[in-house]
Amino acid sequence: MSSKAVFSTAVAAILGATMLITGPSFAASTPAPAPATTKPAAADRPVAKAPAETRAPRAVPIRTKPRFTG
Amino acid sequence: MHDHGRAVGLFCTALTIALLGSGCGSSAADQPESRLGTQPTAQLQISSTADPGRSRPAASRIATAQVAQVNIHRTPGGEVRSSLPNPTAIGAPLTFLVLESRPGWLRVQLPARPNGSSGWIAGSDVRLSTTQYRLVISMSRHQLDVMYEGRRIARHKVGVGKVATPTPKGTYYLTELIQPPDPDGAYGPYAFGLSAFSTSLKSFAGGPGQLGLHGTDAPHGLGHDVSHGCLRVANTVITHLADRLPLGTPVEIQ
Repeated sequence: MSSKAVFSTAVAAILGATMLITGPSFAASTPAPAPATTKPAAADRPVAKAPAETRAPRAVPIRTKPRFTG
Repeated sequence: MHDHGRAVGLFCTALTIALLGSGCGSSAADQPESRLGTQPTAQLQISSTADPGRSRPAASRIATAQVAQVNIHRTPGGEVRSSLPNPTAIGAPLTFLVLESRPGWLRVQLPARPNGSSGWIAGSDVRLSTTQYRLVISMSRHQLDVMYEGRRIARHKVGVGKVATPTPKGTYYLTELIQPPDPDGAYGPYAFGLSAFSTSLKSFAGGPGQLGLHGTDAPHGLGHDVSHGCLRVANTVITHLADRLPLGTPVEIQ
């Protein structure tokens, strides 16, 4: 085997190994397939949203004579 | 020469297998694991940043009537035991402090005798809101603490009921805010009505014996048992409170 043939074999082996290495890592970065969608159980289903509760505003005074016990 | 070539081939094959083995190990097994390992950490960091530490106490829920008359039920959807007009007799929006809720129904404290009574109202009859304010009155210390988000933000002297006309203990709420015609009179510039009633007076000054939180024209009585059951504070204090507190604010009398 000539030195040229030895060199070619070594390069081919390294290239092959590199492809084998990068191949799986590239494949690993591919997003996994989405899980099969299933209908959620009744308990998991979103219920109708209650109306948002706001912060109560300050009281509006009424001009009149109080009749509290004092 | 042949032996040398075979040796190089074996070396390359071994190298390939070794690299292949290590490549498979890191790509197929470690990487997904490391992803799963880092993702929760990132989520934890985010959540710990979002929560600064102290959790806010639950706000009080206030129900304000949206209909002309609110029926009070004994149970959710059950028998109607009474009804309350909206607005109230003096023109204030009918307001309740919410004690409990079930789908479509609210158990609320009622602005009626006996003190602390409650009933169920339809959720569709009211609009809900919240407040972080709360007033806590210590009758023995004659102190009124203004609480916000569970923390005391102010403390004031308060005059409370005399022995013959005591201020009833319990948790109540503000039902109305009145601005008397004479700001220098006995009630001061403002008077909040409470959902509490005197236990010794069935009526007073033409009213039903309802308790109030108001100012005073006798500031020397602050810090003492001087009233017919009402809570008296300085005029500057009641003005400050009137500028901030919503109807429905809980008032705890200890």
